[in-house]
Parts: sequence; C-alpha cells; structure tokens
Amino acid sequence: MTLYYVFSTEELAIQAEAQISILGNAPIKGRNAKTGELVDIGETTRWAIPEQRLDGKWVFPKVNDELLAQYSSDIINEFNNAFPNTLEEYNKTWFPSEDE
Amino acid sequence: MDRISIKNNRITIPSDNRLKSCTMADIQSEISMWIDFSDEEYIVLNGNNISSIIDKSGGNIDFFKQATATYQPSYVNTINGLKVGTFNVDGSLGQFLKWKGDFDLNDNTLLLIFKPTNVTHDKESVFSCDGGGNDFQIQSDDYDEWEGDIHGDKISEDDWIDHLLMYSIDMDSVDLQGFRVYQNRELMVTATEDRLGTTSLELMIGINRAEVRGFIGHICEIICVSRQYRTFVEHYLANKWGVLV
Repeated sequence: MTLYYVFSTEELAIQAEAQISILGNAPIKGRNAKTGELVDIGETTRWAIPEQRLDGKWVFPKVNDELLAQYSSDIINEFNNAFPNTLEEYNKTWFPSEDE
Repeated sequence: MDRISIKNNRITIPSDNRLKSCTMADIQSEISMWIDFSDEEYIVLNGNNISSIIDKSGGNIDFFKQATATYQPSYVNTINGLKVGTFNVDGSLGQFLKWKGDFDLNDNTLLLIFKPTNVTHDKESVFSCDGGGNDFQIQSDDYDEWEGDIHGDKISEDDWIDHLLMYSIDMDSVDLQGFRVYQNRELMVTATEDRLGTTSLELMIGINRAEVRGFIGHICEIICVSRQYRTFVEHYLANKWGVLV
C-alpha cells in the first residue's frame, strides 16, 4: 500500500515537496553499501516529483514513517497547515495509460 | 578439438578448452558494462535504497544513478544468498536507475539476470535504451506475458513469475540477434525496435524508455561482453545465481 499526498494545485505540491526535501536534509550524500563511508557520487537531491492525476489534482508519495518519526507533531502540523493535503492510497487509474 | 556446445539446453565446456580456467577477471578487458547488484562495493545507498550503482567493468559507463528518493530501488532482498536490486514491488511507481552518454553496445552480447514478481502493464521494462530513434527494451509484452514461443510451446505465467530469468542477446546495429532466455528452458522474448545507436544514449535499469512503465521484481546482474564470451558469461551467471541452463 502506497499512500500519496494529494494537493489541489501544482504550486502547493511543488512547495510541499521542496519543504520535505529540506526537512530530509537533501541533498543527501550516498554511502558505500560495503563500508558505510560517504561517497561523492549518488547524491539524493529531492524526495519526489509531483505528478498530476486525471482529476487535475497533484500528488506525490507520502514520506516514510522512518523519516517522519524524526519530526515533532508541531512541525508536521505546520506542514499540513501550510500545504493543505489529503492522504490517499495509490490507484493506477489516477494517471493516463501512456503507451510508447 | 571439442567445442563448447549446448545440448538439451545444457552448456558443456570441454575439459581442454581454455575457458575452463578462465575467470571473469581474465576477460575484464572484454566487458564493456558490468552492473552487479550483489557486489556491495559498487553500490551507493540512501538509507536502504540504491542511489547509484557503479559499473564494475571500468569502461566508459561510470555509474547509473537516481537522485529522487521515491524513485530509488530498494536494497534489502537476496536471491541465492546474494543481494539484489528490488524495483516497484511495494506498489511504488517508476523506480529506476539511469545513465546517459555515448556507448556502443553493437557487436556485444547483453546478458541479464532478473526475477519478475508481477506485471501490471505491458511494456514494463527491465532494461531499456533510448537513443533518439535507435532504441530497444526488454519488457513484458502484455499483462500476462514475459513469454513467447519455444519450439511451438507457450510458456505460461506460472513458469516465469517469481522465477529467475537469464536473457542473453547479441546486439547488432541492425537487428537484435540470437535472443535466448533461460529459465529452465529456452524461449523467445519480446523486444521492441531493433536498432541501436551509439551516441547520446540513455540506458535505464528497471523502466521503459519513456520512463512510465516500471519493472516489478528483482534485478541481479547485467553484463555487456564481447560476443565470443557469451557462453562463458552465461555459464558464470547461471552458476552464480542458480539458473539452470
């Protein structure tokens, strides 16, 4: 089950995603899987890319619980107030069936 | 002199053949791309997800990457005791890794080991190449297919879903030739388009070239090698990952 934030406008979705990327400390340096050392390649620069649904709303995947647990309820409430959203379970009918 | 032979879909390497004592390190110069998800030394992580995988071949591909967290494949599963990259199995969309540059796949053999766990659309690609009109992708053909005809037989979904598949394809500037796929027998496979370019290519692991059809399952290893070593590398991969050839 993949939950998505759903926003009424593209602007809200873009701003919300940017805020999540900042809260997640992006850009995040990659770590070598064997040694755990930070490496110069493989930076994660953002959380997600907002996409528009067929109904016109804008969505991107919800932050995982591991990251969310790092933040107080005040910060989460502030986020939800600044960027009003609903949470919905992903459904493949949201997006057009794009063929090659 | 004995030759390498394939009989009843089993590879036989004659005892006096020089390949018997050959290792992958010995043919390193013949490998132009080697993406090995099992080798942690070449994996870069963001938490439990893969943000980059480095090409082991030392060729002109440096690394495949994914800078957007929700598009990164996970690195928590194993097959045959070896770590693998896992794409889109949790219902995520569009997890993939990408490299862009100039690269000549022609006159090489491309080999892939992967394990599909589901298919929800056609054209869900395990590996694809977008080269401005010179493209190909290895993909599901339809909702129920990673399948094709083998000597008149149809391979049912039960035979490929949750099974390890090994694909090996001779790349050519005109056609994809000699496609062969091993699960526990040889079968034909769908590949769209039939030409390869060499410049400004985008190679994508885990998605089709339009970046809208994510592969669902695990990817183990991808190797591009000179054609004369095709059988040797098939044997290496089959032994390593536990594919019956």
